Amino acid sequence: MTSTELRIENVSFAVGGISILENVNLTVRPGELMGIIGPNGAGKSSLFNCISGIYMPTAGRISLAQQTLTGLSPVAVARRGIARTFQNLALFENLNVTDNLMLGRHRLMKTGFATAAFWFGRARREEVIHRQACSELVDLLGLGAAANLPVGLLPYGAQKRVELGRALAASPDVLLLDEPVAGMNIDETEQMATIIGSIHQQLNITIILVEHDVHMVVGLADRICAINFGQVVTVDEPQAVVSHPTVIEAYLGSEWS
Amino acid sequence: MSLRQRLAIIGSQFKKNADQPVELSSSRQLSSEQQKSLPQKSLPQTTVTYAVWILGALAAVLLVVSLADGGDGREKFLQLLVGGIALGSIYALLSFGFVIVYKATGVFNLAQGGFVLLGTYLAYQFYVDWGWIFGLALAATVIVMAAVGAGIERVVMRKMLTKPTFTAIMVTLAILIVLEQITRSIWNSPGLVLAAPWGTGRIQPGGVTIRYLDFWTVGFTFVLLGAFFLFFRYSRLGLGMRATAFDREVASAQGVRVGLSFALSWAIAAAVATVAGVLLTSRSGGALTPAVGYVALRAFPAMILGGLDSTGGAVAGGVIIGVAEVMVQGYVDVDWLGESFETVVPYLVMLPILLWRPHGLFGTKAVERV
Amino acid sequence: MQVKKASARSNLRTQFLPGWDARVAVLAVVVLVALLPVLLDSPFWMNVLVTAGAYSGAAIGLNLLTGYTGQVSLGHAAFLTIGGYAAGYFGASQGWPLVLWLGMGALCGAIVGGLLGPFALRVKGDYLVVVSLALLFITSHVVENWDSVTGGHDGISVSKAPLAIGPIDFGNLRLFGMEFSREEGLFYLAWLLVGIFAVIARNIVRSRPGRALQAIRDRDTAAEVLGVSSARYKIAAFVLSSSMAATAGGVIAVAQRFLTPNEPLAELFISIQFVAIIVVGGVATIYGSVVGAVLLVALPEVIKEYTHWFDFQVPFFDRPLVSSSGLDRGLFNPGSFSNLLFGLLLVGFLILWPRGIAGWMQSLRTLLRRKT
Repeated sequence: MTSTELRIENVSFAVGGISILENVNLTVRPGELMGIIGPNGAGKSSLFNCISGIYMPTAGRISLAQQTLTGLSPVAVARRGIARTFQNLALFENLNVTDNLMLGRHRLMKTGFATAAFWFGRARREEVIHRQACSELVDLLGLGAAANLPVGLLPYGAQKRVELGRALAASPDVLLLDEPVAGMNIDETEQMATIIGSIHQQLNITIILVEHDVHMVVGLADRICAINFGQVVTVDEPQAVVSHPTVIEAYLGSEWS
Repeated sequence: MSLRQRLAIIGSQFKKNADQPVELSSSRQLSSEQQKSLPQKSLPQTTVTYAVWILGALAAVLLVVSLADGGDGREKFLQLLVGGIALGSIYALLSFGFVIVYKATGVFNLAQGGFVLLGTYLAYQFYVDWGWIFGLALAATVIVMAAVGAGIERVVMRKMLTKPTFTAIMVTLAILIVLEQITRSIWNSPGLVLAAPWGTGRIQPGGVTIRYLDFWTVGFTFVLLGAFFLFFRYSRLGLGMRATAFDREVASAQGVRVGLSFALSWAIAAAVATVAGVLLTSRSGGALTPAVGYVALRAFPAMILGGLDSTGGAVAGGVIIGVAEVMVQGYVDVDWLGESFETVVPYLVMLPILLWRPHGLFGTKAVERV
Repeated sequence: MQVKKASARSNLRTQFLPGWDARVAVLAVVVLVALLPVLLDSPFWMNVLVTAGAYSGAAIGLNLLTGYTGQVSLGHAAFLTIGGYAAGYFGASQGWPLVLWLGMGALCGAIVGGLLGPFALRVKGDYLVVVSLALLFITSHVVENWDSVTGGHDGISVSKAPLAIGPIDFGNLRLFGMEFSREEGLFYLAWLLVGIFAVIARNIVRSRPGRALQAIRDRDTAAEVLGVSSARYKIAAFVLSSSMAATAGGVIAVAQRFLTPNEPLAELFISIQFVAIIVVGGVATIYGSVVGAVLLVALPEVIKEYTHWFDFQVPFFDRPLVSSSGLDRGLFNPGSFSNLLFGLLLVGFLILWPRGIAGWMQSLRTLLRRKT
């Protein structure tokens, strides 16, 4: 297996004179689950947007397996094997669950307009193979009954799972999860944590997890990076991070024990 | 509480919202930045920007023309310039109407041509058919059309606020069709004449022929637009409309009657369209045909050029397009470009500018939220 | 292994191949269309159905662009015009065979549609609507002034355009010992194209490229993050949609036999008609495009043919709603009355049934399923 190390080196990002990320350095090891915590507005989502090419960092370099990602379009980043979810769901609401997952596999397929139009040969073969893969994923996520429903009609928790599934369908090397359990109840949170944990263990992919549920992050992550005001406070083992005085002061509060 | 204070409170409300620890992603910071800039955004500064743009455009035209004409046609040039500004004022009125509706309700109003059509024929009814004096007829038409505009907003467009933009645009198109057919069915005799009282007179200062018509057109436009700018700046209703344009929810939380703002925006659009239609008809010697509504389609480039959400830009865009059209008509005589090439000039001017600045010259870039 | 493959197949079938009911419906429509020229003995209505067929083809194109990709265009009529003049120039003036002049029309449409691409990439939403309006104006201007190709104001005759593919001559069709008139031949040509377009569109929307189009429509940032290049797919949607419209325009041109330039306003009206067609039929459905086209093309003709239905006095005005006597005494003449109905239909559907007739069918199907 090639090393899929994700390096974020001296990355800064500013919009309209407001600095959002300042000199962020972070190296995520292959197969690692890196948790990112920090108060709202600390720049966590902006960091994701910089990685996936939606924002262009004002300075610094982001690379995956020694290949530079900075400056690439979101499409090109996706083709390098980075998949993500969004903090506020970004599903294709009029399409059903299967089609949403199939869009995750877009980069793995080749059918173009011409072959699709006449529906034989590769178009048909590809469709069968990838639908098979998606239907396995649908079962894994417990969405079997809803596979043919437009995702816009599904409850919030299920939509969150569809979004995770869509990112997974891309068989990514690196998975960016932006608050996967935000707004979920305890049961749904637990279910999602289990899913993420088993993905991490079984598929051996690098995961970066932004989440406010610190208990969940501590439980899942190999290491945690704490961010505040666009700067990295500390990167360390989960227990070390949550007992870090600056982290407690800026984010966790004194009642955290 | 003074209006100014009220707006300041709305402004501070934005700041408070932005400071609240919700999701302060960078896009939100960007919008909070814009929000902060609202109360400080001063009219003079933006006007200077527009003036620079217009002067720059005119200087470019002047340069091209003097190169092409060998310095011989100063009179012709000035004449065309006045004509162009006059035509441009009509475009400015129309695109001002578009922008007002767009800012207040977020709807791209393609029915503007229908207002031009109905308004002009209504003016004909009052002024020619019923023999009222011109000023009274025009005022009456404007009032009736404002009511029509507000009524359409209340009955049809209010339902469109929650619908996708596609739906709203198509509904305005449908309104255009309905207004057009109603107008055609009421005034279905050909050869109607709506001659404005200023007639066809002209003055010739220093060899430059200037029609009274052009004076009136420019005068009307700028008095009207000036009045609206004052209205938006100093009146309670006007400030309410600006607040609505800025953020509907916050405005209504601050006690602005948002619905009234929506209706007013449509009323203003219909009113300025009427004036534009009457002025345009008198430009063509008073011959009144349903084609008058067609001018609204040529005013789109003016609005796009200025930027959908910039009233000042709409005026600037109107003048630029008007001058460009008349200049082309006066100077460009190239066979292969075909007859009445000037009718496509507004669009030909618009296209490259849009490629260069996709949100128009003065429009704000929509912030993409991720 | 064999077993697994078979189960994959059956799984595939239940997931995304049409059920038996849809198959029966499609078969019934195909048989009906094939038999119509034999059953219907009216050149007038045959002509209306030729137009309806051509409009269906163009509407499928617009639905790919607007319904599936979410790009609003008021320039669709321009592509029909381009295809029409391509038929006139390459078909009638140059005498190229049917397949070539139709293909040339499609190519011209595709090229002009592709020219819109850069705008579609940079310019969004409302701004793009005005860009498509620009296309109407520019096309009209070019058509009126490019005399050597389009005949300028005088127009161009298209009736000589060859209509034969090999031994099959749609202008003088003989099948199974039966002779068909030119209208009937064109009817088969138009509806054959509808069939081809429908199959192509259907195949595209249910596979990778079609999903990409819909992803861009629903959420373009999310699509990009999955590796869907919205630039490429938007341009492709414009190219595909406009080449379909141009091909349909060629068929309309041969049916009309003569082309004269339209005012931009008239072109705008035709474009609106296409939007109305897909709204009434059902946005983002293929069969909806066809249903909408047939209904809205037939509407003005029905009103013209059955004017006396609407010839009643309107209170207050003391004039008939539409006069059938031919004198212009009615409140509306038949043409403007049908335009008015277009407007009202469009508003009505957008407000009451935004999913169009296809939406009705969907509700009906759910209702039936619940009952059984």
